[in-house]
Amino acid sequence: MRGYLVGKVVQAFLTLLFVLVFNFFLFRVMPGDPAALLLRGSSAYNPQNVAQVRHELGLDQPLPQQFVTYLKDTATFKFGDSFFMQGRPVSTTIRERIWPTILLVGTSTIASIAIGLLIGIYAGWRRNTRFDYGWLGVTLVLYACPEFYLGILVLMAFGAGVGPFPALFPIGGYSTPGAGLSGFSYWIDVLNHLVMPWFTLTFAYLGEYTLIMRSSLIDVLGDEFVMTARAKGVRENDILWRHVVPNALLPTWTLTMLSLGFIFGGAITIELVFSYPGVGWLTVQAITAKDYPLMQALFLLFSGAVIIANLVADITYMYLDPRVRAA
Amino acid sequence: MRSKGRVIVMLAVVAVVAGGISAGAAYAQNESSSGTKQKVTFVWGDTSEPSSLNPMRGYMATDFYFWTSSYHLLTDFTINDLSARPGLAEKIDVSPDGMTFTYHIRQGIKWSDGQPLTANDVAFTLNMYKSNHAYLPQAYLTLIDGDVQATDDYTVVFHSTMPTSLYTGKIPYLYDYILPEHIWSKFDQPKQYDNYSAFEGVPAGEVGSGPFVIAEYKTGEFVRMVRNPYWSGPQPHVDELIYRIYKNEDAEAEALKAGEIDFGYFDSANIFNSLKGQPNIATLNGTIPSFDEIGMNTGSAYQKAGNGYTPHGDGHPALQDPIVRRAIRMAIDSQTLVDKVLLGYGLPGTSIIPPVSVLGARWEPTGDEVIPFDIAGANKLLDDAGYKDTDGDDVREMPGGGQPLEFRYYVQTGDQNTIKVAPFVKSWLADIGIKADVTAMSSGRLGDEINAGTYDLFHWGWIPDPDPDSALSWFTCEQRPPDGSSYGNNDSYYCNPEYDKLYTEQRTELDVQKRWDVAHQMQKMYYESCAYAVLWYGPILQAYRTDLFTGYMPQPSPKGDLLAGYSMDIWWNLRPLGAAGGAPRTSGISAGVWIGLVIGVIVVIAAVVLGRRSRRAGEEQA
Amino acid sequence: MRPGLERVGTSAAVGEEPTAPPPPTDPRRIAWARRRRAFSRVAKTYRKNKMGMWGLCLLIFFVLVAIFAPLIASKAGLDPTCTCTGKAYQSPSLQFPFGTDDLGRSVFTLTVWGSRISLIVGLIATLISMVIGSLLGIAAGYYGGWLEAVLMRITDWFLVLPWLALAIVLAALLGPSLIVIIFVIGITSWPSTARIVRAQVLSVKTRSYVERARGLGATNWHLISRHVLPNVGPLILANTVLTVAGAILSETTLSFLGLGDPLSISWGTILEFAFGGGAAVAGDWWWLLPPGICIILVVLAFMMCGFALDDILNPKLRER
Repeated sequence: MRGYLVGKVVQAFLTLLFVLVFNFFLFRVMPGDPAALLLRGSSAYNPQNVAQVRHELGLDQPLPQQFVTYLKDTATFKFGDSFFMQGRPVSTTIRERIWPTILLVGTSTIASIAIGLLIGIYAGWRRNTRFDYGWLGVTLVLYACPEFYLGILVLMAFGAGVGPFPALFPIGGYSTPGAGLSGFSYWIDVLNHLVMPWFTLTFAYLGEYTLIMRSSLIDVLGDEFVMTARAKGVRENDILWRHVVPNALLPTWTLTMLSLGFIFGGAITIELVFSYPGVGWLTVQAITAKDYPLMQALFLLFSGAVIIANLVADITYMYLDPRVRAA
Repeated sequence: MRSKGRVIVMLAVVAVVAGGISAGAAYAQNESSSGTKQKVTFVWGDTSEPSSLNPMRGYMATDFYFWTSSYHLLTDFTINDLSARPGLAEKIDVSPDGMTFTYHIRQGIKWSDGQPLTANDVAFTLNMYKSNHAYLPQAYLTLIDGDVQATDDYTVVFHSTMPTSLYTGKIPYLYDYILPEHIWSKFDQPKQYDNYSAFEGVPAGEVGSGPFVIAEYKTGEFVRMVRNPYWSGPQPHVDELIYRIYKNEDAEAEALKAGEIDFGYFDSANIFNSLKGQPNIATLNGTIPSFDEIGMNTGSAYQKAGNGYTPHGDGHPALQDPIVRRAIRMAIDSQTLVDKVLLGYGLPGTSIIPPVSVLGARWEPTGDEVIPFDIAGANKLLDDAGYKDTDGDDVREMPGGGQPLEFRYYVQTGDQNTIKVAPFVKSWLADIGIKADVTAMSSGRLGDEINAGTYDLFHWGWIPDPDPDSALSWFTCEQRPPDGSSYGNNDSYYCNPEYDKLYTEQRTELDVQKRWDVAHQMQKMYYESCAYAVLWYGPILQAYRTDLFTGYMPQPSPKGDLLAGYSMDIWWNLRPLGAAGGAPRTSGISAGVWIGLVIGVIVVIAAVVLGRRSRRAGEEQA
Repeated sequence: MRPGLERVGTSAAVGEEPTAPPPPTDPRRIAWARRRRAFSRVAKTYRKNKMGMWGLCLLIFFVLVAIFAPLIASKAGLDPTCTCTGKAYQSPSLQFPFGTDDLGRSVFTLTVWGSRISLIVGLIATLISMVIGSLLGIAAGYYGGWLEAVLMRITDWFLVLPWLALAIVLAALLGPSLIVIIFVIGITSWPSTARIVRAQVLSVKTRSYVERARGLGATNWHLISRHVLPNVGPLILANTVLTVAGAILSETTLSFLGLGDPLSISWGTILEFAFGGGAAVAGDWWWLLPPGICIILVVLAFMMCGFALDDILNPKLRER
């Protein structure tokens, strides 16, 4: 078993390395010069300025040299300065956006998982009843809806207040700037800003977990031990919660952990629709501006988080599934 | 038994929720009545993220608003017509040969940390801009010979490499904000300073000489400015300025309607229109100093040092003929584009110097000079010049039946206006026998294509300075890129030695009126070459609350930027009206309701769990 | 039913005995006959599945709309210079049943024609994804060893990056065009297919009849085409239908973010222009609702068909 563990860790590390190398070259193959992009359209745009900026950004060095610098810096956690974010350190830029991201994407992912799994359990347990079809229908419709579209509808209804809907919540942002709020009032303000994007994200992604849980549960229901338990007279409730669900949860475990890993990728389109200052929209800005240091750091963050989540999932799966443990 | 139990539980839930709400409301009431600061905040919004708050690095129009309110210019812009008026330099002496300038600095101005502003700050700042190659500011210092000297506390002297009127103070050319020497001299790398955080020994907070200074900047969210305690000019009626950054205009418009912001800039004519007629909201549209153009490849060539050139790229040869370019210009109806794409906002374009510019700089074609929208006339021009359609496919060929007139036409993915214009232009060009292949690409790639000369037509835009010198410089021969890996401003590759001569002339002309004459000549020359078909001058769409603030100053008057983007007067002119002021409005569910809701949810969950447990106990007994 | 006795829709007169064709002796014909029977069995079961039938009907509706677009709404209506355009931002009227957009074009025409690009991009991207995913999944599962390790490593890399960020980078790299969008969606969605296929191949590989066939000296090709593929096939089919749903959603998102070809009309680009043009705030619901609802319906249709197929074809569910 230790071999299995070590193997997984080595795999994870190799994937990370692969990601690092590939990203470096992928970004530099993209067309457009970051220096020129910074200055184009303004009076500052001339060959001398562009050459100057290129030098300041370290882009005039030969590519192998840049690559070595990149590897060295990444190993020592030096992520450099962002191009388009006024030369601020990349770590600061990302740090500013991480907390709102975790607050929004983190909590909504957890809620989505919890609610989705619950609905999936009940739908699978009462398969082919009206309950099943009803909830399945609702979940499917939500899942078929692009999440930004759901966001726009929510924004129109409860932010702008279209038709019979009341305009309840502030449009966009993380909090009300300059309001001078602190302590409890501040957190209420943050909460109010959080409501619409949170609900959008939670309900947009419910479907994934519901469907997987439902089919997983139906799978387990067909197993022999369920028939045995029923024959022995075990109560239905107990069968469901003590026997079926734990077994049905296993296949959903990996998906759940992966989703938790993806939290650090932010929610790009939701952040756009609700003007929410998260890591997702920062990524889009970085890519558009060809901000290499920022892009490299961000992609490292995403991949790292998911790779670690994957690793954790594999390792914990080992402990959860007695069949694997015995192997 | 079971149903009665359920009813009891539900009643309990309702009672607790109600109790929670009222308790919470009372609590929130207590919170708000005590400890609120009565300060007046002016909040304005846009979808543009500042590029940098450091004047050495910033290059976007948005950045300037923070500098106009916190720094002084040597020569200032008047509000009404962008002509020059004394700024920090009360009086300027010019030597007879026009090459030595003595600036007398105004006295009594203090920095926000109490230090006095002296000539030392001026000299230091200009020298620092030059030696550190500050992106924008150094462009106005290229004619300065050597260092700028502070000869005493309030006198600055410098020399120019050639006689020029640009530093005489009669034109607001020196667009350089003066920074505090005692702060900026501390930095090893002044460009790395973000101008509001603690950095290399300097504490947090911008040090400026204007009425407001930057206190806080949350990227992607807002910039907050507070009062300069040592400001000795007219006292502002506002305590804090906040600029809110929105990712899309829908959110910004809703915020304006809800009173979350007092003023907003908009790009979308649709949203702007939807705000008209809303209660307590007024709108104003004017033009900004920007223009959009269809640029043409007049003969891409790399400019070698010393006037040699090497043709490169594969631009269509027909575009090297001014007659073809003129026909294209005649086939484009700017008015229709303004009406349909800009919904009537903005102005049809002619010269490369927009209406919003220093008074006197702009030339406007009149009478016969105007190139009209005339499809028939364009067709006749091309017929007479020999570009006939010899194979009957409705596309003309080169004289003598050579290459068909088929042009690549590039638009940008990042600019929806370029995409909307394309079908119109394509259709008009088809009417004069030219086939246009429209392709969308990112601005990065477009820059690459232009640099490589592998294009024919493209749609892009510029934002010229108020003074025309920089804009006129873009079309000189030496602004063509020197090689395939560098960039040049001259993206139509226009090169005319006559034009270049006039450029030097306007730089060195000491008489302002004569300088304008030369500038006019240059504009006329470029207009008639049709290397650019200037489509329009961009609109500025502004909406603001009429019940919250007054004192806006359109610059230029009457339909310019209401926040007077070039001058600082607005920041003490703004006054709150009755309903205004106070800390920015928060919206959403009140604390009381939140508390009630949370308690309610907890109670419901508890009821369900307990209920099931009692049911199970009941079943076991059965 | 006795093998070989197929009722082929007889038009015999009453009283006449229908003559049955002689039973085929060629093993290949036996195999094909078996497959035809399996197909009709599946079709019959499918017809009983309500969800599947609803999905199929919706799907057929939209496909017909896409095919017969020129008959439903004139193509000239897509060109803003057409004289058939009206005033901009008009709400629905008799002349313009879905109102007009910012250039005065009929939103109805846009929506009808937009179905083409949305469906085509979804289908072709899925095709690419399924072909690559299945090939690689079968290869990895069947051959194992270092091939499997390398392929799984590459798959992992794709799964580890948030697909949208990767798609944005690739789209920025390759430029905005339909082909690029198809390519980007295709290569960011094959990994999940590969994984599923590989898992199924692994389970088939260990079945007794496969081992027996190998013992009899069957070649790899024979094993793959005769045993692996038919068993993995149904799974791939169900997965394909679901992938189309995902591909259409992806195209919508990418277009909404401005990465698609802005000069083409798809439901995603309509939403991009609508939202960017301030429809949400200006209250231009007629511009926002039709394309969005169409997307939801089409994706739902594919999902319903996919789940119905999965219910029927999934061996794990079938065995019950």
